Amino acid sequence: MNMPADTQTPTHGFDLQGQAQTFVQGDTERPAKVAVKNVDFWYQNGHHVLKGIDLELRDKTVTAFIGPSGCGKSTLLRIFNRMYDLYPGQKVSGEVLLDGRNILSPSEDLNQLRAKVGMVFQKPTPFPMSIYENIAFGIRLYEKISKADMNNRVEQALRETALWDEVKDKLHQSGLGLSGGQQQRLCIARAVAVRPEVLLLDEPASALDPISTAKIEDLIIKLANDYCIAIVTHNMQQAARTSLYTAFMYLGELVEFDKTEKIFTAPTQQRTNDYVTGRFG
Amino acid sequence: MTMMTDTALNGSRARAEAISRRMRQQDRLFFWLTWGSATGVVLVLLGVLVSLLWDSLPAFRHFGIAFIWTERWSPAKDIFGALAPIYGTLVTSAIAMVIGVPVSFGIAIFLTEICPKRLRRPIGTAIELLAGIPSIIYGLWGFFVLAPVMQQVVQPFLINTFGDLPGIGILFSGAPYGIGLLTAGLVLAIMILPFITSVSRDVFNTVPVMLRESAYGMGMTTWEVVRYIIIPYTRLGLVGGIMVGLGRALGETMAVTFVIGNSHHIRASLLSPATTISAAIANEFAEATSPLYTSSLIALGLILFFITFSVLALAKWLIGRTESF
Repeated sequence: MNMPADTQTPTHGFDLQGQAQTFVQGDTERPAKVAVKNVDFWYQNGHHVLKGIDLELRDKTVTAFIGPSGCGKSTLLRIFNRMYDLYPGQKVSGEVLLDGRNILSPSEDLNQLRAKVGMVFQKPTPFPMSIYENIAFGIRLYEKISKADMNNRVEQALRETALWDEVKDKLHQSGLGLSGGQQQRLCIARAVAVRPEVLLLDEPASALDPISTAKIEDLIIKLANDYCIAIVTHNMQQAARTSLYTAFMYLGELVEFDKTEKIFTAPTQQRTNDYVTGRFG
Repeated sequence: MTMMTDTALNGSRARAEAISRRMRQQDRLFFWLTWGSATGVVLVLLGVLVSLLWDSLPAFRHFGIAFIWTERWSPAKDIFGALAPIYGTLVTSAIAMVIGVPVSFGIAIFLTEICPKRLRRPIGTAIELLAGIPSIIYGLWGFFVLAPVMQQVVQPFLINTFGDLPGIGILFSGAPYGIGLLTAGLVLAIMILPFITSVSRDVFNTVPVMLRESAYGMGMTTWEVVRYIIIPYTRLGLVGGIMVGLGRALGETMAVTFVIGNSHHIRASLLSPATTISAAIANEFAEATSPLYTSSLIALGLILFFITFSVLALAKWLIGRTESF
């Protein structure tokens, strides 16, 4: 990986004209949080969907995964919280180290892992309970805290996701009554409320209108101050706007992985160049 | 030349006309056939209702509305009251629901959440086969197999364990007859199992994959996902499934007739013989000699019609609400 050793503040994201944007992700190169080592993955039908993936996700950094449908980027994301375990027959090899510990080991406690690695999906998935409970529920799974503390945690999570002002008067109404964008922010709030270490976002804005999308993107950039974030997206601009690193995948292989700026302005691979300039995919 | 062309043209036009006329007639016939079938059902339903009303009129005229809450049933004196059969119908159905619903939910949850894929089909099919067993078979089995076991093992155990407890003791008092409310309720529970199981399995399958995954993604255990996500999400559909089972339990005749004991007395003990509406009708129709006796049995049928109809209407309404959830 080619990482320029610049001492100036690395900007986080830029627009497609190559203009650096104003927000800042971190002031120094962050240490690796998740290390993927030679990961291969097969579906039940034997289809080989990931081939020898090697990369690192840095802490307090957004890493974007781009590539045409079926390239394996969502599958890779679902390895980080072992979601594939729900479907017997899917097989993985290699190692995924979270803070140096291999989470693919059979002895890994999945519930503990998933408390540390939160996930947000393509479509909002509020639980069938009140807005308040949607957030409190996850916290209660792992912590015994007083009612007052719980109220604080819920408020904090909703403030972090810029949802508090919109829902503070209807905390005890169903989460299903919110708009799509609000529901998705509720799902992100729910994921951050349990204070995870890694946040997986699987096309989090693909079902949303442009205004909601912009809010989600702002949120992602803000959350990068605290979390290691991996985002799968089909939207080039979104990857460019939100991430510091970008991985381009194609047919189950990691074609190129570098600083987002480099991927979008001077990729070393022809296929990456073709994809980010919209010539295929 | 022109003449020829005109004739040919007229000929083909006439043929096209004939074909399209025949098609119109076919469509008209098709319309009336389907329309007739659909309205026929409604007419039959109305006919059943009208004849039930008409034939039960003598009973209601003679006993008044008090027929519904009179317990006495004395063919010798031509005095009839519906309370005992109504009571038996409701109590046996309640027992069936108390036993059948949790077991059905358990099976459905196992099939959708826990069961390995290759076992899903065999177990699912086995449950569905239960629905295919004729109810007379359940009756025979209940009478010859289940009732003796109840009499010799289960009921003495219940009497010894709960019989002396204050309050609920009265439900398990008296002699172990083998047959009675509890045995009938048990047989009904087994009979409604496949219906509730298949409806609840279907509604569990309507839970979006992403919602299940996000629940597991929060680190919930399977139990937590089922208890806090899947059941609340499918709540109304499950109620619909319960109603389908209840509708069947209320109306079941043959199996219940075998094991209920056919006694028109209301006793608090679940172990005592009783009767249900459908069992009373099936059992006594042949010997109903007086017109009032016949009319009273038909009045029982009318009452059952209303009970079942309201249960099914409630179910339809609830299922409709789940779909628009």
